[in-house]
Amino acid sequence: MRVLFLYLILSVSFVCNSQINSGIISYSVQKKSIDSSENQSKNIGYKEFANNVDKKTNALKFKLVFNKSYGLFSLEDDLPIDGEDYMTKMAISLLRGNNVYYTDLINKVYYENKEILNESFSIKKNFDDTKWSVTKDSKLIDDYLCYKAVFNRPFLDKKGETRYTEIIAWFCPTLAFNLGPFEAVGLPGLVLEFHSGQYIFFANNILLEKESKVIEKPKIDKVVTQEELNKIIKRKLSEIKN
Amino acid sequence: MAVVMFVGSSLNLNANQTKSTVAYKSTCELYAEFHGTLFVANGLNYYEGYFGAYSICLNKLGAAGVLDG
Repeated sequence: MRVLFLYLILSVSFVCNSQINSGIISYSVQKKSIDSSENQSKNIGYKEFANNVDKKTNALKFKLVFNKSYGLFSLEDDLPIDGEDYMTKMAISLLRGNNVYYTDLINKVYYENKEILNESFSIKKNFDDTKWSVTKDSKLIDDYLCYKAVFNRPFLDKKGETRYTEIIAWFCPTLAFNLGPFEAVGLPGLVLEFHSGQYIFFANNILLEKESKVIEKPKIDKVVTQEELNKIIKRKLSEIKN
Repeated sequence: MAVVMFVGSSLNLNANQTKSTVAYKSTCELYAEFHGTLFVANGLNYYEGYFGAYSICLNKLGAAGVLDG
């Protein structure tokens, strides 16, 4: 039944997508109204820090530029923010705005480019590494019918233990590009809304073009897997602490 | 305690600093802890938040000349 459902989605997308060769999607950021329990028991200093960072997140916007082969997701340039403001820098860091996500649709891989303690890394991931579960939940986003997909994203806590958080992507099969914000790639349609942690990234401007657009490939530095990077990070932390 | 009072406002560094470099570095570690915790609250790796804030803080101190001597 699930296979049939996916087949129908893909069929619709093929018919509707043949005229579009490139596009630019702008994403705004909104904080979810419900605060997680993580924040409840922290000290005043932490709460004040978190609030000050949070105030700066509203002004941040992201963009996805793409063609039929490649996609590039990053923080928008020329935002009306003070890039030197301390808490703005923290907010950009929290929303992963320092990272650049380059997706290669031909080889079904994406690179998460990031800098850690002034060293650049490119984390390479295959589409298959992210096991999305496509649901039948649907809703209209900007008149596009979108379906909900979920994934339990692993992350390391302070003790270095693996925990999981559910991330949600609302993708639109009529826009048959396997692209979206951050790691929300590989789904059968463009992701127009993405839930990650306490924040929602939603498309607020969708520009689709018949002409193909050249996507500039970012510099792919030291390519590592997430597991390799985790080891490097732990080593760096012990160097700082000692 | 002085470090905690520091939290919430930006690092206001100027030529008439009275804090020691050690105190500022402690502040950076505190910010790093907070940012790491914020990352975990958002389902992201603690260590990436920790290093992100630590780098931002150290760069700020470096730009202000605190780390020069």
